[in-house]
Amino acid sequence: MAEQQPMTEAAYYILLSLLHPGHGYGMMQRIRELSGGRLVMGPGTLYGVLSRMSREGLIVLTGEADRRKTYAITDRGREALRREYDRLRHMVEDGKIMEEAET
Amino acid sequence: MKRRYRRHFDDYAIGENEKLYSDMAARGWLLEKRGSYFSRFRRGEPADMRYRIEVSAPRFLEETDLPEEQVAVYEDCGWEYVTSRGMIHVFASPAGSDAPEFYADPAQQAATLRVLRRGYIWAWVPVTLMLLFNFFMAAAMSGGTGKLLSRWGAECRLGWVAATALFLFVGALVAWAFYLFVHAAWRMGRLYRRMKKGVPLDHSPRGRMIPHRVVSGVLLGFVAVFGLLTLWQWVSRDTRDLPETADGPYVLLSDLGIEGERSALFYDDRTSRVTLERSLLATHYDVFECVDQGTDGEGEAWMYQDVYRLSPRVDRAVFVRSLMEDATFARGPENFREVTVAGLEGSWISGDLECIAVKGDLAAYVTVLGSGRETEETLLAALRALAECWAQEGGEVR
Repeated sequence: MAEQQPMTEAAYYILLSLLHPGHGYGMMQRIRELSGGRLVMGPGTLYGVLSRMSREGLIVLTGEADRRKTYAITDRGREALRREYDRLRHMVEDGKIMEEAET
Repeated sequence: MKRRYRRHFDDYAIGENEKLYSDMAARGWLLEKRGSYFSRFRRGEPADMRYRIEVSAPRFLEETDLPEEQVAVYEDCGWEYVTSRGMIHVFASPAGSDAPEFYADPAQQAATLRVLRRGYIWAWVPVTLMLLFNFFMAAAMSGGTGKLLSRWGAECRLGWVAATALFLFVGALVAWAFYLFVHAAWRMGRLYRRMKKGVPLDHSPRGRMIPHRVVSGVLLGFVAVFGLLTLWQWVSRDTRDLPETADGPYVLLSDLGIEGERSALFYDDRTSRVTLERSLLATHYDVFECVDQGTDGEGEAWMYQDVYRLSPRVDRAVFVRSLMEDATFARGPENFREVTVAGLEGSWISGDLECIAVKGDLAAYVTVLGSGRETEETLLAALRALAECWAQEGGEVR
């Protein structure tokens, strides 16, 4: 199954947070920190995206302790994240003409 | 341990259920288990709790449980899993905790309601398909849809008179079920559409669905009243051996000149008896008589009578037509022929087996069977006997 492109904001941040393997709650906290408190993700959203991405092979289950599952990003996930990052960066660069127009 | 049961809201009322559980916790009743119609609470310290419901979306024939990882993620975030029933799964967290809401985006949460909503929208399909199947089977067996409908119509009209309370009970039950179905489908659809548009779920709705509860309660009240009335009428129906002389507005075979020993029906040992039952619209005498005509080779003779003393509210013409429609052998008014019998206001005969009589508030449908007895003369004798009996009974002429 091909990953979604462009990626949803939630998927993008979850992949970012999984550059270091982590479990549900940890991910949510890291995402909040990463986004400077802008993105507060609920566990329902988190679980929905995690199960979809693990079906798509973007992330993988690496361990389980106390029902607490640890996920990590896969190579495919890394590629997808990289592509999305490049896409977003291009978009931001392209958007710079707006600043030039304003000066 | 002290326990309490409370009727909870149906599955579509997510916010209402969440509020119910929070309100109960505030009064010291903590949710323990959600059943089909009732939730069970155990006594505890009054607590300020947030309850949240997650709806699972099982695929066709899949378990309704939430995946274990999903529960683990929720528990990680500070939500304690409490109980499940079907697609409804309840979590709780103390009111001041920093456990985040399941979904920040209502549209995302709306997506989780899709399977629940589909269940409400399609709930009528199995019942309808089953009814249609039965209908077409019955139509095929009774020679066409038109014939079946007129026969069912007649059965319903007779049933309405002879078992009015039962009809009202079934009618109220159907109305109640239909109302619940339509209301639930409408509420579910409305919640789904609103959330999809971005309106967040109200976890603490102020309305307690009072109008809905009143309508549902009134309908259920009718169901209960008519159900009890039906039960009472059924219990108080009186079946006894047929007396040697008629004690009601019915006749005996001897009144028709058919003499013999009372005997039992050869195929099921049924003996002569009379059943008296009352409905809201009629008193019904259901009479069966069976005699052995002796050794001169004439064999047994039987007579079945349904005699009704009708309430003034019953339309006699329609009632007689229904009796004809429902007649065992004639199977329709077109097979009845009107005859004139002194003392009756109306009398009809069909095929040497069945006759119908009316006078005042009395109406009868009679079948006489037996070797050498299946003649028009026997039926006319039955009609004359009824006329004489009803003259003494004093049928009120209208």
